[in-house]
Amino acid sequence: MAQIQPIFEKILDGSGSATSEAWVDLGLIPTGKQIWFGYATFAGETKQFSFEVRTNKLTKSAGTVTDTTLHDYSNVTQASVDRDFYQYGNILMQSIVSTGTEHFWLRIRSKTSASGDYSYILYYTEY
Amino acid sequence: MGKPSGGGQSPFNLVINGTSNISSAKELWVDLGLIPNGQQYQIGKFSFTPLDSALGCEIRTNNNGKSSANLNDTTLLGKGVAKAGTSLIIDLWKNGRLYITTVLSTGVEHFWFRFYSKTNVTTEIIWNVNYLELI
Repeated sequence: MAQIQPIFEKILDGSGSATSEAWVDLGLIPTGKQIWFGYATFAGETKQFSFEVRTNKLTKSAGTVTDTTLHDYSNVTQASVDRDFYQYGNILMQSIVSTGTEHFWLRIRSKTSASGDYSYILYYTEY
Repeated sequence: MGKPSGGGQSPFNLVINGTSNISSAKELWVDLGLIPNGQQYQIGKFSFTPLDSALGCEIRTNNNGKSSANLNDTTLLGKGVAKAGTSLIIDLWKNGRLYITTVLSTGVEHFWFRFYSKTNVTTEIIWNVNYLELI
């Protein structure tokens, strides 16, 4: 079987401030489509943050641990970290096929409650 | 040269090297140059080293018909945040799995580095970018 060689041509970026936890809605997954994650850069600009890439379980839409599946976890302090979700085709990191309600998310957490700044850029495709 | 296919070699044969200084400021825009009319660049990778202070770096292209260095008139293509004295390489090629390009120029658009910090910083920055002309 021929291996699909994707081009992760879609880019999402953002920034914000958070204390100990924040959920960033990366968007609704279109009906019948899956998100295929390629790469990301996450930055804890002013303090320690962890970043969780999550997608909703089938028919769920809320940004909660219960209603989402964790795909990737990383942590960084006052720097950025690059994440490779593709690994030359050896990892298939995808959402469920959307029924029209599911979203994909970033769950951002910190060990400290002081406000800090984060930013991210995510490369992915839909198919 | 057309859009690359999987796993092939893409010769990012163009390079710009530079040194910049940010002085008691939160932001510095570095003009990487005017994209000639009818041309489009593909970015392979960029690297930066803030010698004296932690710093973020974004590579951006002007939006169609724009030429100013500001967030509204540009699109983010890649970014990283480096600690003081640390080099960071951002790979925007990923062996052909990424296809990060500037706007197709109408003769006015530039591409840029935006160096930034949340507080005023003073630092020397060594940087470079490798890219190619698509058209």
